[in-house]
Amino acid sequence: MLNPPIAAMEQLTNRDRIDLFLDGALPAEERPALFAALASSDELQAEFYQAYTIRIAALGQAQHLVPPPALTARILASAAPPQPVASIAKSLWHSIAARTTVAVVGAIVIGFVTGRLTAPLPVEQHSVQSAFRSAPIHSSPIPSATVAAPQAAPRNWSHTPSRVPAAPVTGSPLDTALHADASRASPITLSTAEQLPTLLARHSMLAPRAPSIGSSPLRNTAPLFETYTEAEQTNQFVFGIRRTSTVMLRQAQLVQPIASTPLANTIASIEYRQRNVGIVIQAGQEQFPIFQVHQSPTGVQSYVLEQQLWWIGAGMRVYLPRSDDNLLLSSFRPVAGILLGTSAYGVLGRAEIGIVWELLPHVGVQCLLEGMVHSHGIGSQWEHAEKLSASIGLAVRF
Amino acid sequence: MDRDYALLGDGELYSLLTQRQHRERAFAEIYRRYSHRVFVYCRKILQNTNDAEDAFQDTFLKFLDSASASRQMTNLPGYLLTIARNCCMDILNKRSPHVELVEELHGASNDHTVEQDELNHLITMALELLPFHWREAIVLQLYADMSYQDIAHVLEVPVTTVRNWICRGKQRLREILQPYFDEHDVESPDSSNGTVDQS
Repeated sequence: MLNPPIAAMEQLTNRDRIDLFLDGALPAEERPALFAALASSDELQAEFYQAYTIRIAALGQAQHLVPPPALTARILASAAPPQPVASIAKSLWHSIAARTTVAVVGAIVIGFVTGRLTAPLPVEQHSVQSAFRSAPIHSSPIPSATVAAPQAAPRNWSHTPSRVPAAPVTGSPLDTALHADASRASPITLSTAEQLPTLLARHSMLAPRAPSIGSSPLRNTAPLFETYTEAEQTNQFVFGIRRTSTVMLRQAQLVQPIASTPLANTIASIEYRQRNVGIVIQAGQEQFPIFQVHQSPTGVQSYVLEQQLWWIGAGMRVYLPRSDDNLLLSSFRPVAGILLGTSAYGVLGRAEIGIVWELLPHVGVQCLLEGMVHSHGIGSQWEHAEKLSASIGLAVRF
Repeated sequence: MDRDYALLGDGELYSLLTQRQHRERAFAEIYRRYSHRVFVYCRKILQNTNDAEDAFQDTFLKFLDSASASRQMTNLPGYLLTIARNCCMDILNKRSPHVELVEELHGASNDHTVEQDELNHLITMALELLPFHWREAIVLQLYADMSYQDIAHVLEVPVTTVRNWICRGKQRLREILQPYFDEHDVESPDSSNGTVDQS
């Protein structure tokens, strides 16, 4: 755009005239003076050409400075009327097919979980072990020679009848003799009293308490505990469902509140956990700004902001080992996890960190802080969006 | 009836922003006309891609939010650049003094020569050495291609002040770049070595 000549021109130097001329702002009556000066001065010619060089370079650079397509999409989408995404999702949710599917799947899950809950639980043995370890010792010290026989014990005490070398607990000559006989004979079957810890361990609500076990003649037989530790393999399925709430969203100003479906901002997960590591599959529906380019048959492009993102992914979680010595960590288990997944628009990565409060044998509460990065193609570009959210939910394990 | 928004004037487009059925397309047309100018201004003033994109987006969102049927729009590009300037000032005020101000060469087109890229980079660095008002006026004139009057409107100073800032700024720019010109012997079209777009 050329500048109209500036009216008040005082004390213009030839250098000023060069710049004003190139900007189109030099008055016509000033031009002869500039041309005359240029014709007589090589130095002024050089300066003129340097000014011209800078101007051309700047114009060339400015032509290449264009807003990225994704940025354009975001901005133009902000002027678009709200898309009927919510109503579409709502009608879908209310459709008979959707409700029937949810009812059938829900019934299967409930039946499966109920069946597992009523089955024997192999996962609460850890607390039994701790209870034994913390039991006070009332009897006489155990001779070291009589307690070292862990290699003969089975690796899993939950299998009955259990067979281990019977170790004398009193250290009396009679017990020593009996033990010598036993070591020569085949392993003996535990008596009912000896099986008590195993039986108790199979039901968490009956886990022995230290004082009551203290009177048992077997309470501090070391081989029992050593083999027990080796046998600790807790395989669990964990079903979780949690609600998320946005803490930070880079494009938050473009997202309008939506309360379209009961599943909005909900994440469901299935996890197979072995001791402290779990493999998890998650699916969720979250509010997230997704920009789409729609092209009409006439070639006109329009930008649409989608706000509901369905996604599914898989990953892993790592739990801090449970510590019954620590009152806090005995029921609160810090957890961290990562997940890679996909949505209808692109790929995503999630990271989560938080705690699981295992307040009941089968039920826990998850409190997580979750970060999510979603990348999707828009035009020829990849657009990234980030979200930090907090979530709370229930986890049922069996 | 489908209307051709490209034929409408700035004032008409602005007034359509307040009408729900025209808002999207009127805004798209305004964006098409002036987004480049605003974007270049944000990039050259902030010298940082992320900050520039944030300021650019904020500019148009604020512009959209501020659309009012009662306002008579006489200078739409000036109005947009005033908003952009305020957004850039907000970012500059919040910016850490240690922020990295590069990236100017990022995204450079492949059809640039090495010499052109080098000169652009030097100009960018030289601009940083100028007083802020000079730099701002030069950016608006040189990169955003605005008239002195529009620049005066955006910067809220007299036109003669804008003229002085631009002339002094450009002369200072040439002095800073003099070693480059000496090295490349940029004195006349005959002696140029490709640093100038001959087309």
